[in-house]
Amino acid sequence: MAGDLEVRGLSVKIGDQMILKNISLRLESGERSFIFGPNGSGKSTLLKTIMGVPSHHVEAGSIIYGGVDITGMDVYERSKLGVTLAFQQPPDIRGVKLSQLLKLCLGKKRNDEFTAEEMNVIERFKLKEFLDRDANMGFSGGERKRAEMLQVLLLKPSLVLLDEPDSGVDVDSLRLLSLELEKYLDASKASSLIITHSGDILDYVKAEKACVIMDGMNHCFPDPKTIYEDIRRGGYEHCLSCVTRVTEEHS
Amino acid sequence: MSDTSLMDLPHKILDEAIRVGVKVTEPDTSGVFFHVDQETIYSKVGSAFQDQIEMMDTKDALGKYPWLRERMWTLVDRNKDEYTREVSESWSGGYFMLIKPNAKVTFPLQSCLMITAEKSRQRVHNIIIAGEGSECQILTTCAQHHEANVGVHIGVSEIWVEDNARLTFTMVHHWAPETLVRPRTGVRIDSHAEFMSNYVCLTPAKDVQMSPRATLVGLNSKAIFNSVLYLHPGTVMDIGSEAVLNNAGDVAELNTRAVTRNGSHLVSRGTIIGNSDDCRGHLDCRGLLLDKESTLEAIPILKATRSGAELSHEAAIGKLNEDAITYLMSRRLSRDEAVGVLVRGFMDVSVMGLSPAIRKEIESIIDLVAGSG
Repeated sequence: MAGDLEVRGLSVKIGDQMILKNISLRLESGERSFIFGPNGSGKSTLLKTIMGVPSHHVEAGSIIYGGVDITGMDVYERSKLGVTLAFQQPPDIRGVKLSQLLKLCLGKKRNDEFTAEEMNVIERFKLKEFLDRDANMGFSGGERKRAEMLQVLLLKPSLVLLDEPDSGVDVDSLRLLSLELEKYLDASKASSLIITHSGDILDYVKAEKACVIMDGMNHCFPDPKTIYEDIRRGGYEHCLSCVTRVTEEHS
Repeated sequence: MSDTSLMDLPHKILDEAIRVGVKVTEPDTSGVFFHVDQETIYSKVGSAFQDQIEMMDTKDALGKYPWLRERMWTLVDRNKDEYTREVSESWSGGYFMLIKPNAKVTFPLQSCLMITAEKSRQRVHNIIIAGEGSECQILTTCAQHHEANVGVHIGVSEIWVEDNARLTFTMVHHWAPETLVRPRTGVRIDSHAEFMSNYVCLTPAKDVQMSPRATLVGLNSKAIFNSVLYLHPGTVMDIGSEAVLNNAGDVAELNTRAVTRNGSHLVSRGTIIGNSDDCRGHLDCRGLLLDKESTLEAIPILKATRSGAELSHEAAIGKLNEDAITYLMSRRLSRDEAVGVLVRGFMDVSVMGLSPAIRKEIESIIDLVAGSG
């Protein structure tokens, strides 16, 4: 289901700690946005809350996707609506081979074979030799990122949530992941929220917007590259002063 | 009996056997044996293996081989408990399998012990002798017919693995919710010989208690016990295995994967006794507890009587990882499907060193119960 994503006044607690405070953002169908922010600012929390991870408790606000209020839905219901998350730190799945996980994403049974075309994609992601290993167990950072991106793309989602797909990935892998992502987003007109810490992915993936999340609050603008250059030059504190200025100018 | 074809067996028995996964066609097996209720109704070695295996009812074997009388009850004490005493007083036969020296039996030898009559009390005494240098895989399926609900199975098994022999003994249990099961097994492993036991019980039973014991009497011999257990509502199991390492180079590995759920209770025991300066043993028990009504107790025992014995164990009991469930749900699996995939994954047998044929066999049985995902 393609559609607009609207996060309205979202406040989220994990345990006793309020991580997100009154976040609002809008992503129109087919739009892409990068999310920047210092460590611990709540970027991952936002994506996991949109995905519906149960430890992330919505204290206030709502999440509307394609006109449907998904705030109370579980992860499975959201995934059926086309929402998918590439986790920053996916859990080890003991006893479940990567091949099985990929087959699940493709809607295949465990004993089904991959088609030649599917094998081709797996090889492009340099994951063929990992097929018979327990998913994520002992995978390096880059291997996890490749496996996450591949799963997400195989699911053919309409809303792609990517949590730092460019961290710990070598240049060749990043180029590959980015090209595959860009190709998919262009063809499917899916929307995407992409957290990047390093900003490396900006060299390969185009986006219409960028959000900066600091201290659990967000600030969204057009032109991700300008925002990122600001952050690189003056750090997030400098960014915050600009953000305040721009916000005032816009208000 | 030798002229009987498998297809002549009553449909009720054959259909049930096929349903629980018994291999009945010759290309898949080196021989097939059926003991139903109190009687051996079929025993035939495949044509390609006639000169490598002898198989018959144990009572027939006693007539053919008088020396067998001296061997019986040497690996299992007939006074061990009320069940062994019961079999020693009254029994209906069992399988006798003699793997001839240096035979290489490339297909599994299949036996099926079945209870079909309601409230039947089956008492068998099985003998396996793997001759020097032989290699063989035995697949034994013990089942209660789905039309019968209440039954008792008491099986005494004595197994000799002679010098340089390799024997894989895979036992699959398919009981009914009211079956009481008491196997009593003793194994003797000679020099440079290897014995692997794979025990699979994934379907309902009322009460199963057993602890097969392997005694390694030769140099550089090896005993492996693998168990895969998936308990059903109300099932009580006390499953153990024991290895006694008496000589240099002896090795034992005990692996258990157990899932308790729906008010079932399991005690998983493992004992390794190191009586030599150069022996090694490792015990690995992993248990998964799926609800608050069930219990799971792991009791590993390591005993060394020589300072050079290297014995170790790992035992871990836990619940399913919620993060993993959420992760799979984000891959468009319902919660139940995600739990099924993880439980199926927990029972992964790829680490148990099984031959491809036996691994495939066990995996297909696990798929039958847990779903193929």
